[in-house]
This record gives sequence, C-alpha cells and structure tokens, in this order.
Amino acid sequence: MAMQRTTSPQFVYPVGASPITLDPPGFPSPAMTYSAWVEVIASTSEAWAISGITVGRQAGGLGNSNAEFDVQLAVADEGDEDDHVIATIRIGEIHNEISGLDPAINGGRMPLPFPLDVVPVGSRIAARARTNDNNNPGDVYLALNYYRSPLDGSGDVSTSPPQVLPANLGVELEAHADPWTYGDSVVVGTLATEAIIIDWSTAEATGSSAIDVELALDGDPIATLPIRQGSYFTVGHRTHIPVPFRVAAGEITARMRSGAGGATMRFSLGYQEWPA
Amino acid sequence: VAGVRVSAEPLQTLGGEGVDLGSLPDAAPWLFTNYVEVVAQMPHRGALAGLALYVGVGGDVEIHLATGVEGDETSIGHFRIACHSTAPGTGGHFDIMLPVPLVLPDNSRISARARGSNVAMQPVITLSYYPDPTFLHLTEIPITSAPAGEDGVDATLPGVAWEWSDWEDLTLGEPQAIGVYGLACGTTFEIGNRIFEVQIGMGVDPEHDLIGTYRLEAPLLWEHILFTVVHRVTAGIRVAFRVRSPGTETDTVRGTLLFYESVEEVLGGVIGPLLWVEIPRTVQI
Repeated sequence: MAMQRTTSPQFVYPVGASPITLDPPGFPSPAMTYSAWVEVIASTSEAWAISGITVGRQAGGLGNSNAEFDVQLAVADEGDEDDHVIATIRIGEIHNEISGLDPAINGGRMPLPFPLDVVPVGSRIAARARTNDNNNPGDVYLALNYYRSPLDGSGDVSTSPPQVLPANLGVELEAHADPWTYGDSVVVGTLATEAIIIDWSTAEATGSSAIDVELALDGDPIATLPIRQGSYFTVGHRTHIPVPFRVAAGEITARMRSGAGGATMRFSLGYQEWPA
Repeated sequence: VAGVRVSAEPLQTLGGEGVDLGSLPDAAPWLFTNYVEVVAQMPHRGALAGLALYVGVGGDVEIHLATGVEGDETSIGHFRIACHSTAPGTGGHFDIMLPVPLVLPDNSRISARARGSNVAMQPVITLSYYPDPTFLHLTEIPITSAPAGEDGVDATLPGVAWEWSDWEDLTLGEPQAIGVYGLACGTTFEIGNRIFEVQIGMGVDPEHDLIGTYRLEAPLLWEHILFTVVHRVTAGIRVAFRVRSPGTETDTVRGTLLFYESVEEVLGGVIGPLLWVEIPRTVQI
C-alpha cells in the first residue's frame, strides 16, 4: 500500500482579483457554441501543473441556473488555440434559487485527478466557454488552481487532455416510473481508445429523489454512481474521481433509477485517454 | 511507482438505495446515533472510494465508519461535511471522494453512525468502493477531521474588498505527520458576492508556509475544497485558514480540516508522466 502525497503548495490564478470572464454566445447562435478565446495569462513566469478550475456562470436576466456549460483551456499563441486544447471540462450547474438571490451564480471547483503538467514556463493560456442555455447565456467566470511544476513528493501527473463524453451535450436519462427500477439505457458515446473516467456531471434534473446511474461498456454493466439526496440539489451535480477507473475502448451506455421513480436528468462523463 | 493511482475496476456502491442512520439524538448536538449496518459481510476485499450523503437539513455532520461485529465495532475513520446554513432544504446532496481509498478487508462487516451540530439531521448514506483493488494507492490509515465532534471553525470576512480575515486555527498540531486532503467549507447563504478565496497555511507564519490558495465561486451553502493529491504536514505543526472576498460583507466561512491521521513514508520523490503498471490479482498488496 502507498499514499501519494506532496509538500508543494497550490496556487490560484488570478489571485486576489476578479476572475477571468468568458462570454458564451446566446441566440441566434445555437446552444453549445463556444465563445471567442480569452487570454487567461500572457506568459507564465514558471512551469505550471494545473490541478483544477473554479468556475461560475451568472446567467442574464432571471438566471436559468440549471444548465450545462463547458470550459476549454488551451496553451497557445493567439489565433492558434483550437489546435492546442489542453482540457475540456463540463459543469452541471447546481441550482441555488433556494437562496432567493437573483441573478443566480452557479458553479464550483472542479479538481483534476492528476495535475495537468503541460504548461511550460513562458506559456500563454487561453480559455473559452459554451452553454446550452443560449436564451440566457450570461457570463462564465474562471480561475485556475495549479502547482509549480515539478511537484515535490510522489503525486502522479498527466499530460492527457481531460475530455467529455458526449462531446456536445449531456444525454438525457429517465428513470422508470417505479421506484428503484432502471429506465432505458442510453448511449453516452464511444471511447475510441482505452480511457480513465475522471468525473461525472448532471444537469436539468427533474424530480427530487435519490438516484443511481449505472454505466455499461458494450452492454455489460461496469459501474454504479450514486446521488443521495432530496430536494433542490439534484438539478445539477458533479463528482470528481480522485482515483479514476480504467475502461476499455467501446460503447458506453447509462441508465438511471430513482427512489421516487420517474426522474430525468442530463448526464456526462469526464475522461482522459489512456495512458494518461 | 508512478501510475499506481488508477483502478482497473470501476466504482460500485455499498449500501444500495441508501442506509438510513436515523435521526440524531435530540438531547444535545454532537451525540452519536447507534451504529447501523451498511453491509453484513464484504464479499471480497474492497477499497472505499467515497461517500454520498443526504442529511435533510444543514449543519456540520460526521459519518463514522467501522468494521467489526455488532456491539464491537472498530472505527476506520470519519467523513466530515460542513453546511453552515441550517435553512430547510440545504441538507444535500453531498459527496466526498477520497484521494487515497481505504482498505475494506475481505469478509468484514461495515457499519456507520453519525453525529452533528443539528439534531434535525437524518443522514442517509451510500458508499462508493472499488472491488478487488489491484492498484497500490491504498491505505489503512483512518480519515479524520479537526475539529472533530464539535462545530467547525469560523473565519469572518473583514468587510474590506480582498482583505484577508484573521488566521483561524484548525489544529495546533497533530501527534504525527498527517496527510491533508481538504477543507470542509460552509458559508451562510446570505453571503452576497459569492466569490471568495481561502488560504490554508501551516506553522507560526502560515502566509509563508502555505498548503494552498483556493478560489470558490458560488459557494452557497456548501463547497468543500478537496485535494486529489494529499498534502503532507509535519507532526506538531499548526494548520490554520483565512478567507477574503471582493465584497464588503462580514459573513463567516466555516472550516474543518480533512486529513489522514498519518502519512505512510513509503514512496520517494517520483514525479513524471503517468505510467501503468499491471499488478497481477494473485499478488498480495
């Protein structure tokens, strides 16, 4: 047995200042259309291993606060970002209208299981965002967590870009009307290569209930992922997996069941190609 | 040793549709419920990966796990969740995934009990685990928190934009080196600007001996800072935290340190691209 650990501190960027603002386009652009790239930092003064992001979306108007949005990071010169994406991270918003605050801001921290050691000293980092809430896209706020690279200690790092399955928009799952009975399986997507599953997220859920999501690879059940809860927070959810699990190439399907029966939600998986 | 932190087996659940630990004793906060069985007998060796939890209302809560027969349970550690608000509807969903899974022995009985700050809580839990783990990144060291068995520590925003609060002690030092894996962090939902930074530091001058700086966005009600790589803290060293925000609020942020009770001194300074090492199932880890 062994415990990977470090003595390197984590840093945040920007620090002590407003976050980076990304501006996903609204109608008439289709849902899930990326914004323009926005420079996060012109040149890093040291090599970074990115350990996660903190994001929030402030929807315009009354705020939908129940959408999906993606954030993409690139290390590249201006105009060359599309070919140098280092991460795509999906966030299922957590509903917070319970607070009575308006407009709502939704988001949170999304740690990566392995610090992404792909930012040499002097790198320019850029970011862009998109959302399915194109009637009310609002702004997406972004900050990065990172270690100085290399880390002290014994923690694994990775160079494989985090990606999302499905690539465009989460698949809609529907629980059977009977409690704790699985609904139909839905194809989440196909992994072209062996991969590790690093997180999962949900959005646009209806119903207030405990939920299980069962994953299958080429039809064979492989994993069960739980949400245990009642009221507001089922509408959006995200779980990072610090010890990712490995799956072979193939078709990933998912189905869900709920304690009350009949719930629906969108579902996505985060993954990295293996070896990472 | 690089590459030991990936499981060949996908996540599964223990506790099925959720194990109801019952209402917390109403005589006073922080009194334990009785142990409730999660699984009568592990069908194989497992690695505890995390906890999914619903408690119904807000507050600070601990979920203690144990092995052993009924009436003779042995603790294997506790999860801690902080939800500063006690307003209705703020009690879940919560989950915590561990950076180092805990060994669940073959044939063991797993049970759980709870205690918390709000006697109206009624925790329902499900555990995530890896069956028959073949990866090396495992531990038998219990997870714990500081403080434990009492309310978390409050840091109060000073009311000046981007000015830090005072440092607030989470622990004055543990008897042995610990492996910090995060901060259970809850806020009042009256917090207005909904962006703030948290610093966790060590020693007499924590500003210059940082564990890290973290940004929270929209942390209404709860938002834990969870690490994916454990941070080693030397024995006897104080750990403290402080907060700041871009606004002028004077709300409080409640923190509880999450850590492994000790750190195994097994691995040495290997950092590099992630590699995979196949460990035959027949090899005893």
